[in-house]
Amino acid sequence: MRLRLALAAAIAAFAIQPAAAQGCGDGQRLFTHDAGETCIPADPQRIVSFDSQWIGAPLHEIGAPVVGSVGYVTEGRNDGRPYMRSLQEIAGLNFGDGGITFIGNWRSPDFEVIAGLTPDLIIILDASIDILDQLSAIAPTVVIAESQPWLDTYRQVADAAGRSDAYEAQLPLYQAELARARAIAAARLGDPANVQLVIAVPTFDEGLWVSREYGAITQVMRDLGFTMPAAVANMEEEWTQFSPELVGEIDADFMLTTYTTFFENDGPDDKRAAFDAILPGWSEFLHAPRNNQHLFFNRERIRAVMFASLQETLQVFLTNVVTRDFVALER
Amino acid sequence: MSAAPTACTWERIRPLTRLLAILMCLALPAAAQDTRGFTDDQGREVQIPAAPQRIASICAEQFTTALYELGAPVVASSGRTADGVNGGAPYIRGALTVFDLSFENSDIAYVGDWKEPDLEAIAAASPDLIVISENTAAVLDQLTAIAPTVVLDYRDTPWLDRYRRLADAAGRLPKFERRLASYNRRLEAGRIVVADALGDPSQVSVAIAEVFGERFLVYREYSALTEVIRDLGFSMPPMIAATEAGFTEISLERLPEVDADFLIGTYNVFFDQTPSSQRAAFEALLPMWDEVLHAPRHGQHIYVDRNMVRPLSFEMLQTTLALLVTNIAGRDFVPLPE
Repeated sequence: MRLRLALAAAIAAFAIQPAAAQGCGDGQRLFTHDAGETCIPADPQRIVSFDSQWIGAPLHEIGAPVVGSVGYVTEGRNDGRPYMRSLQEIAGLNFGDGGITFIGNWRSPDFEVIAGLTPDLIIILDASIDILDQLSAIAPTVVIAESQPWLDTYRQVADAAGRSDAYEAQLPLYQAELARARAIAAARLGDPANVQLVIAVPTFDEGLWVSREYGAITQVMRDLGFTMPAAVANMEEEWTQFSPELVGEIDADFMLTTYTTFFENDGPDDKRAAFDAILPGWSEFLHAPRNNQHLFFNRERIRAVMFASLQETLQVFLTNVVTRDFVALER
Repeated sequence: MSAAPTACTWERIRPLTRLLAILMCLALPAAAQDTRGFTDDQGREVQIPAAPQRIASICAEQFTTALYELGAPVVASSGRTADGVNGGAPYIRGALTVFDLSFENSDIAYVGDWKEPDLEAIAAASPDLIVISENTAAVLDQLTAIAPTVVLDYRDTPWLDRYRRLADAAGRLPKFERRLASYNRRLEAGRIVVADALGDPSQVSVAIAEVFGERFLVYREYSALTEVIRDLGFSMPPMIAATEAGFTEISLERLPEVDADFLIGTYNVFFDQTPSSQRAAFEALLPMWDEVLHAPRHGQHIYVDRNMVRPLSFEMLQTTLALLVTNIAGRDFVPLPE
């Protein structure tokens, strides 16, 4: 995957090199992104987004002009019409609202529809790197890495949209809340680094997945100064499968599992059932569930890159981890 | 107000459109004076503008915050001062922490404390509608002399009703309904999780109680907290549910009646209150409280930042929803014995 990505990035960088060497045209600027450098409009007016949670959500929050977006079509949801994941749930935003056109699923986008929208900027995740050339033929296309600290994603998307000021304008409010939260954490916990959390998501077919980077969760965890068990902090990949024999290495004061009401059978109880299936006795031998310190978070909210999610996640951590008494894991 | 709209400046208008312009200029004041009757929470029928353009709010946390969220044109607001907040200068309680809105970064004029509003400053802001709470009703006559004034209850009325009343007075019901629909979608997701984790949510009891010095208070109404508690279907201890006022001081002998699966308290660092100081207040008044009461005994005493649950704002309602769902349905707990 990494090799393929690097290769595609190299090709893309090569393809755009001449333009970059000549400098960008009037009203354009050179933008550095995950696949090289691209001339993009300084003030884009017609943006196409290739992910509603990582790209569409921040664009919506900063008021950037989006004309097209990928979406999902699920039987029995939204009357079978396409919808934008998280954006519909959180912001009530649907296709058609504010002139946003459905451009297909991110895996199989409709290039003709995209071209028909005459976008002046296309923003994609690295997962769509394979179609970078086709999209670049329609409009300048920039690539955002999905696996990076949450605020970096936001900053990069806002920058591409020419709206860094809107991003910067919201930052102080979060930082003020964070400062209050840190003061409370220091008073309650002393050194918050002594509190360890692990993000563990069980699946019936693939066993236990552990995450080192997970949207707003890890952004807030780090901002509050909490830590992860060394076995997790040192993981090379953002997500790693842990075999049941090694599960002792990820025992922590708190365990976090995400669920969604977006898909069927993926709620907290389904997750507990998956734990039962792959780690019988887990709720007794792991410290966090044994002491009711196993937390379940709604994935739809924490995956949407919005200050609103960050602020909410901060309060969720404060109330669950900082201001409630808990039993510390003896290490 | 005699300032004419710039669109009606005579020199800029071509002769052929002068007749139309005259009609428009004549029509504007009439349109601006469109009024309607509004019955406030004191039962007063007040003639208010159908679409207020200059609102003065004398209750920052409850009214200014919500009006700003709805995009209503607020020209003046009461403010509060506290050491260490906004450098000691007046701040718009609620709106500052929720939206980073201040007198400095907006065109909103500071018109004194809600206890003692500056009537001259209010008049100078030329409001066409003044919104006050019952706390400021002592100067109602003076305010009415400045502009139509409505009194809205903020303490005993449930959160949603209160917000809807304010939105109605401000002529912003459509925006209110859109935000409500958005909250309801998220509430639905929360209810699914609660049903999944707890079955019947009414079997889970939540008590809101605070200690202030010698006073032990229980709350039947606590802004977003009680709105969400009800919306998710949780119950309150019968003694609290039966109290008449929004909050009630009770005698210490009744402590066992407050016991619940979960206990919620609040703190506010702006007033030098932290979870630790609030716990210390409990300890001072009720030694062994965390042994006697079920919730603290089992780590089920939740402390929330008052700045996050009190301001009248959908943003905060949604945050409150998230923190109640994660604390109560998103983790196992020890139920209060029958």
